[in-house]
Amino acid sequence: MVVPEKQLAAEKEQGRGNGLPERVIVSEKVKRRLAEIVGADRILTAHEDLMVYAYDATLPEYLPEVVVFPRDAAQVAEILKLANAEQIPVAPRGAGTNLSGGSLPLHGGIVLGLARMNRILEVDKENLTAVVEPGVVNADLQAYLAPMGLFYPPDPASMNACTIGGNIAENSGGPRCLKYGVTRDYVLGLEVVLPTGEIIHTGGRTVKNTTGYDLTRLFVGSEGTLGIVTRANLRLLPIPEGKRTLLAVYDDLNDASRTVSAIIGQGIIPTTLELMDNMLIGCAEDFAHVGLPKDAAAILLIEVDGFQESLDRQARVIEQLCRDNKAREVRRAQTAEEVNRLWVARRTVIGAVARVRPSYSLQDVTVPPSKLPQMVSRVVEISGKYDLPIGVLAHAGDGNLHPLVLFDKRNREETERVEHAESEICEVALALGGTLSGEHGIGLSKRRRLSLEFSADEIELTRRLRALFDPNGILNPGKIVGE
Amino acid sequence: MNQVLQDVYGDLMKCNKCGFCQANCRVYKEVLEEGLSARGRLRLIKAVADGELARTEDYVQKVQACLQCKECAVSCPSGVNPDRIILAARRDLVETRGLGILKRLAVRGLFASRRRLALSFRSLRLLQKLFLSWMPGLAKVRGINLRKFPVAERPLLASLGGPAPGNSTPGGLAPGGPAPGGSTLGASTPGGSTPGRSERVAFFTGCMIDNTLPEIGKAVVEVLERNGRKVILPREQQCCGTPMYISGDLQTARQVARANVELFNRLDVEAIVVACASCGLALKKEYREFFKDEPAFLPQVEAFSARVRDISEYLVEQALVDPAELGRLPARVTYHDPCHLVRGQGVAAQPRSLLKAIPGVDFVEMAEADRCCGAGGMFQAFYPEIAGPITRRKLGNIAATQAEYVVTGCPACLQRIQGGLDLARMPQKGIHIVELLNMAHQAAENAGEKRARAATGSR
Ligand SMILES: Cc1cc2nc3c(=O)[nH]c(=O)nc-3n(C[C@H](O)[C@H](O)[C@H](O)COP(=O)(O)OP(=O)(O)OC[C@H]3O[C@@H](n4cnc5c(N)ncnc54)[C@H](O)[C@@H]3O)c2cc1C
Ligand code: SF4
Ligand code: SF4
Repeated sequence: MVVPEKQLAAEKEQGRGNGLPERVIVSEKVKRRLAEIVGADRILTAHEDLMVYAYDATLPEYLPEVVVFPRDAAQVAEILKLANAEQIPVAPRGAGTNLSGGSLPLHGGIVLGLARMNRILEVDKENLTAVVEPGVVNADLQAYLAPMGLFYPPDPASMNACTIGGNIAENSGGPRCLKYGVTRDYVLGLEVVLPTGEIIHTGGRTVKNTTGYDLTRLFVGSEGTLGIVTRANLRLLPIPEGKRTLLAVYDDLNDASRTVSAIIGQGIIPTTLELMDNMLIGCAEDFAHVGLPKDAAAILLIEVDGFQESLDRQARVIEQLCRDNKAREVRRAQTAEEVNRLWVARRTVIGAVARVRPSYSLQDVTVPPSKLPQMVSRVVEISGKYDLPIGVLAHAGDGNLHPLVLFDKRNREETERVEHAESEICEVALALGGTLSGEHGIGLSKRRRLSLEFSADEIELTRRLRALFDPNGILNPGKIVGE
Repeated sequence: MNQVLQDVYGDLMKCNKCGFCQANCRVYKEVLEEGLSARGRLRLIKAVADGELARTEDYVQKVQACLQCKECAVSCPSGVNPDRIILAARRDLVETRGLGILKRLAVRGLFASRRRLALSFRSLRLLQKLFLSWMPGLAKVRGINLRKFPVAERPLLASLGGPAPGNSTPGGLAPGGPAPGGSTLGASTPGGSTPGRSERVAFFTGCMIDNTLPEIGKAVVEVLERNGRKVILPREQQCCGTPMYISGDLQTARQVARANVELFNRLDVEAIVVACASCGLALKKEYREFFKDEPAFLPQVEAFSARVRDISEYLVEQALVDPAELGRLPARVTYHDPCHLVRGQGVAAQPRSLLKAIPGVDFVEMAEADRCCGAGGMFQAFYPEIAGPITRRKLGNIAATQAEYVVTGCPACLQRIQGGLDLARMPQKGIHIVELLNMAHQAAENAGEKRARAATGSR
């Protein structure tokens, strides 16, 4: 996440990207034309309405000129053609929960609201697939599938609000992605409207598919810069027969991260393996009241699923590994209610930290799992060095770390320190063979750090690829790569 | 910055825009517009607090189009309580722009919704009365004198007096007709054969039960009496203050609240029972909020609030209902959680346990039982195009259970749901939990009489 003043200063220096003016004004004529395309009840232009599309889950805000809610791919195509002709930037938006500034209308212009394209069009139980529109909320899809004994594996902590379109654009992950893989592994085919207005179809409905380039995977994780997803064929799985949920409690954070490496090192892949440090345990407990040990240095929340017969054996092996690595206690959740409450606590913890300080900033660095203990201890060092509270939250099994830096954005000097601390965290992760972002994307917040990870040639290729799709640079300009 | 906004500014700053509050906000889910999610409303309220935005008509609509269902408060991990901030914003509007702002909105809302007035017309009429009558000048909206508009044939508090069942005594349900002057305060001193304090309870009826659904009130009295309680019904009781409070008119809300606190505190009763979720929430929790700037009065408020119990809560807490004394009610039943009971007061298990205690009742949980029914005070009148689909979703969930009765614990929900059922020509019947309990008691009596008759006949 980025600090507004700092961001603005940086923008002034480098321009906002793609040679577009800082703010693109949309004429009344174009607004009328947009209203004709989508209908008068699907366009917002009042200042009060625009103000609430100026933000996402990050700090900076940029006011759009108009918000439109298309009904289908044909309307999206019309809008993009118009935007192309008029050189108006378009920022796609699902629920606006992303943590990288991805849906911010950096140059004003049009916000393309996809939340109302929210139909579940088809569920094919025989072939374990679903066809959905992009505005379907992840949790609504899960609720729809559950009675059929099916589920869609990607489960971002924001699942109650975020949309499938946003998940696809960010290639989102979630706790159970350790075992099941991320969004990319569950998108079989897409309907996409290209920035120039053509409607194309990629992939298909089969898991195996090697016909031509894998365009589906190119669009997944493209952060709304290559095209608008208007329909997706998703892969589903049957809900496993059973699961066991364990809570391992530690007096030393390092013992917890060593346990993670040990479990993965043994070749055991639990469904989830989540780590929270003392500060986050406190926040989560204050919101969710599930009886988490507030005095513990760290906890691991571990889940295994599969056939009933295998569950207890898996759980026993993991329990042993936890004890070998000095867990002071390993509990098994006894009831479904208890399991549910533990997960509520985990899912809400990012928001719950707001109880400690007014602002938070979180990174999304990811390292190979064997390097997790090193990464965690370096974060603790950095916290001390810059005198900032940093909570450690991790989808630990896949090495994806969310160090949460707490501060007060009204305090300039403190905000500067946050900037330095985060840069250092990113450098450490890269030095350990990791990456800047595991699941939240680069967007606006991390684009200036891209050169830490990508060479000039790689950045240039990214630019050329993008220009091929979007010759006029109207789709989500300024995201991923700046000017 | 106006003081009211100043007071909630710290909470506003706690919002980190995570968007989690979109999850269960029925208004947002219906229109899918950010400005009507809690996150969006808070952003605008903050803008007004910071002087970035004027209190425009658009802003007013965003602040008003909220059901006060508290779903956002439950889903917010940061502990922001958006519903309370929205109330503060309404208060700020009344303070800075006067009650006229509500009046204009009411006129606009009512006219705009004319063709939909058919939906639960009775409840709308009452709402107009409840919400608008305290506003000077507003009573004559649409050329009708709302204040005199007949709503219930006879309000409960005026009509009590017919032969009452059980052990009622003067001061409870006066058997000889309403006492002159309508006061039952004299009865608050126990004496003679009057039962002791521990068995005496006061009943706060609330306007809705009093004016439109007196059946519920009668059932409350009967059930309590059948279970050995003597019921005191002070006739001078006033509106709980919710309509004014949620519209931002704290001053009037405080007036009625003060009168209620003083009145009930003079009674020597074990508990103050309510059967309306919104009244209960106000009496139990919000009165503290009303008087937070008046520390001298707070102890009285605390003493009052501590004795308030929702009827289901009271019956379960006191273990009053003995399943052996209930007759069979062979019926499939489902339950709707009123927002102001489940989230407002944490009462959800009690009504369910009561339902399960009735012999013959086949209890089925409906999907989304605790989602708002779409009533939301004046919301249903102002925003019928949003409230309508919310109610239809509720009706769909009800239909799926194939229940004969939809039970709930709030007259406002009951009106809304029954109105919807009628309009959709659905066969289910909405009923307050205390009415169903009373039916079970009656069933036991009838069975007893039958047995007695059968016994005499065979002799
Ligand atoms: C508290 C919290 C917890 C979170 N936890 C997780 C987590 O566990 N794992 C995780 O991966 N993420 C997590 N996130 C981040 C966020 O929820 C995800 O990135 C999510 O996928 C965003 O979905 P959205 O619908 O909100 O999309 P938005 O935020 O609206 O948009 C995200 C990006 O997608 C683009 N976009 C949206 N729809 C389309 C479309 N139809 N076609 C093309 N582009 C589109 C936008 O332009 C933008 O670049 C969390 C966020 C919060 C606030
Ligand atoms: S109280 Fe209910 S209607 Fe109002 S913002 Fe919160 S969730 Fe939405
Ligand atoms: S859930 Fe709470 S913190 Fe998150 S956007 Fe809503 S009000 Fe703000």
